Amino acid sequence: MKPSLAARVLFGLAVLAVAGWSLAPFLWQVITSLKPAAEAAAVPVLYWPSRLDASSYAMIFKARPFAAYIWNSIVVGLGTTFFTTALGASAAYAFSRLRLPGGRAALAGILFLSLFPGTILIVPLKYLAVRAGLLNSRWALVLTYTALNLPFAIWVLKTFFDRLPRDVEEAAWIDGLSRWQTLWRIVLPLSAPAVATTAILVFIFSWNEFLIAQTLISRDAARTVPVGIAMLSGVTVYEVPWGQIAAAVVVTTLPVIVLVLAFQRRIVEGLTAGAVKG
Amino acid sequence: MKDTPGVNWLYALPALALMALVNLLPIGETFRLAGEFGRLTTDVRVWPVLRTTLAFTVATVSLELLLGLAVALVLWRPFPGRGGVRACVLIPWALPTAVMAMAWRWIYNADYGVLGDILYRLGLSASPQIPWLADPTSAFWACVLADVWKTTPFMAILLMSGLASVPAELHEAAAIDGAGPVRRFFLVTLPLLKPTIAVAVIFRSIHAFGIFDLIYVLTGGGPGGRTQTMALYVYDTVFRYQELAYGCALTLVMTACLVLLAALLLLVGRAPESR
Amino acid sequence: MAEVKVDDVRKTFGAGRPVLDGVSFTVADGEFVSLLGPSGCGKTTLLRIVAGLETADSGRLSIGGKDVSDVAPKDRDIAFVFQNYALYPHLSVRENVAMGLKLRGTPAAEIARRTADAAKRLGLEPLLERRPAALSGGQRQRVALARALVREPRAFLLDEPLSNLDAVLRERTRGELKLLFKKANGTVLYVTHDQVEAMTMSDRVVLMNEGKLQQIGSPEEIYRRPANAFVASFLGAPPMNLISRAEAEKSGLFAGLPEGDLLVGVRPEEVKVGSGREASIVLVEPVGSHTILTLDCGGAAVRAVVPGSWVGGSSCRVEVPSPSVHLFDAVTGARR
Repeated sequence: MKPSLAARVLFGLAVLAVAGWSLAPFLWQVITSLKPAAEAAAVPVLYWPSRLDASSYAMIFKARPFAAYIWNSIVVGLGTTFFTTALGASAAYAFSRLRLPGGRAALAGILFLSLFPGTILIVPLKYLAVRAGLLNSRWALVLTYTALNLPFAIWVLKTFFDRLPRDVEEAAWIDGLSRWQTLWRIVLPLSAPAVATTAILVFIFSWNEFLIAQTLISRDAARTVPVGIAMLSGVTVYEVPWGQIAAAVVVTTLPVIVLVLAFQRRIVEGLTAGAVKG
Repeated sequence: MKDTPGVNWLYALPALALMALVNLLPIGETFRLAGEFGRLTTDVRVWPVLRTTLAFTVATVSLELLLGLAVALVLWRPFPGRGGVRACVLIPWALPTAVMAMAWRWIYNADYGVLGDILYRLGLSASPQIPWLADPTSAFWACVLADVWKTTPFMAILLMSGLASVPAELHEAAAIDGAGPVRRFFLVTLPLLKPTIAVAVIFRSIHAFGIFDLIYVLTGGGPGGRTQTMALYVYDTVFRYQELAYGCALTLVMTACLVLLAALLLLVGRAPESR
Repeated sequence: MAEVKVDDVRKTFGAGRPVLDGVSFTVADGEFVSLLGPSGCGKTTLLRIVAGLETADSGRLSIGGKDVSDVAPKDRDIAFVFQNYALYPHLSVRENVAMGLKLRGTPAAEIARRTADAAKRLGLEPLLERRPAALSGGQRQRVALARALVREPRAFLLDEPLSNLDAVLRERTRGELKLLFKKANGTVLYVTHDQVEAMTMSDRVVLMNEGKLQQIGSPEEIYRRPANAFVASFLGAPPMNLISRAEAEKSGLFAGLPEGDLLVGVRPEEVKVGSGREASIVLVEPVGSHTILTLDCGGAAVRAVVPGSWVGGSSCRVEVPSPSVHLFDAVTGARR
């Protein structure tokens, strides 16, 4: 059952089409960001800049505290990743290895909760944040994001732990390690692939999140990047700096693209493990 | 090692406590603060908004399914460079929705948008300047396209793993039985893919129903509120019009709709099993 | 039913040694032929090439006198029984069995008749509306067989169909299969790594190793006159004693060995215990119906089989009748 030449050519074209369609909007932003200011908004549309001009990139950092936005996103991202992984691993270990009466029900409940998009929570969340004095605090974001990512993290890690052979843990037990120590010093290192996958996906989620970030943080210097970019356009209707916006978009999305290119296999595994919940 | 349930639950406690705090507490507060339920019946906006939300959900999920299946069928068998192509395919899903919505606004720009220009050059449009976001229908489909672009990868990845789990022997048995490639797709591939498709559709429908980021940044719900979905409506009610009680009531309605949607899809997903 | 002819088939996967290195043989119309050999010998690949699931790099294939080397599997008019049965999980037993006929546009009445007939022959009547998931391994295997029988193909190809059954079921099904295909007058190509299956079921056996055909003949032929050392040692349990010329001469059991570098062979059951040279018994392994003795004859280790239990002590007399001696070239393995 060998494919003919025609079939293979068609296949190659299909692959190119798929890759092209996936990258086109992003690539268009890259091109737009590298145009001299006058050419970005030009009629008719210029498909390639007459010369490469990176001034838009410089301007975004001047016009707005863009560097602060990036820093905030990094801090929140790393914080979320850390807490999600730590709390998630501990909980997943319990669900996988320890005797937990009512554990199944709790897991089902967690999964059920995870189905609902954050849009339902924003209203009371803001209210609660105000009451707790956490408005405009990056901690509010870290706590919220962690809570939202825990179901996924617990599921992925539990699935992985279930498949880990128990003999290594039993050997550790005989050697005298406590359960707690076994989790952190034996099981987690052995679970590095699953942990890495979870961490990457959680970081990406945190980096990308918009609604909650916008709801809970209104002080400009504390904003995260997606919100910062959405703010870029609102100065006046006639002066929308599309070149700068494009530059901001590129800067924001580049870290994610690098992560995806480097870890595409892990991400795919994480997605399928997390989504095919049987 | 001590194995008492009490101690064991402690391992999960921080996680559970945090999730309860962020999920259950707000839900409790929503119930407490919700009011003006009567307004739900008189509010003219509720039905159009629900309709828009449902239309958006149906449109995006069906398109994603079809496109995702097509992409999955192309990409699931190993070929040189597959990793790179898969990474490209993943990128739309991985990029920040709100940020890419800005990118789409640029593509859909009435004066300088590149999509209009491409269609004009291909002879499909009379003018290169198309006011995508100013017309209700085209604005709706503009949102659908942008969402489909973003979420097709997720579908494709799920379907690819489903395709890979179909035993090769089944395809071979069908080939020997006399089925050509098209027949084999309907006889072997599709039926075995059903569980995966069911899971994917449920997930995606629930998230599509609650969509916010994309539409907020792309159209703001316009023109004239014609692309406003439930989530946007709730957001406006609370943060623009400062009507907290009614906003919470709407949130409850939205939650109820989601639960209904999930239950409905689960039922539909299970039904063929009991033949 | 038709004859199946394999002509100089070769195949290599990637950059290794060839999986099939020029295999040729013919299965006569109505004949039951087993492809036997250790794992990796190429037997399954060969079967799949005959089915059209793989293509050979070179060589021709014909079924019923017609060259089918470039014909798609569905047009070769063969039926294939997979090792894991490959039943359609979402269809009932009846639909599984009928699928091949349905896809070929057979009229509904004919489908119903043939399905009922196959179901009767394989005892599937009470199971017709069930799904594969609700069947036991043995039942699934019968469905796979029914699916093949109902097609009335020109040849049946079976890929280790009994290997997933437990030992007891395997024994019983062996006999049933042999009768089934005899009654259907089927041309059968049957892949297995189990020599008992091959020997008991086949008209002829094709023994393969490392992609090459080692010997083809009836079970008696290949057992009595193995063409080379591989065949000799593969068939028989316990396997044939194969010792070097030097050891053979030391043992004093073999007289008049011809010139040259030889491997000397004798089957354990043909070693006569009770008369002849003195030998010490190193190991006694009672099997129940017989006992395997490992003997030391002047430094050479030789195994013998005696009926019943062994009560004779730690030494015995042993001799080898000359008709029972097999000689093989020590370098090529070929029979001398």
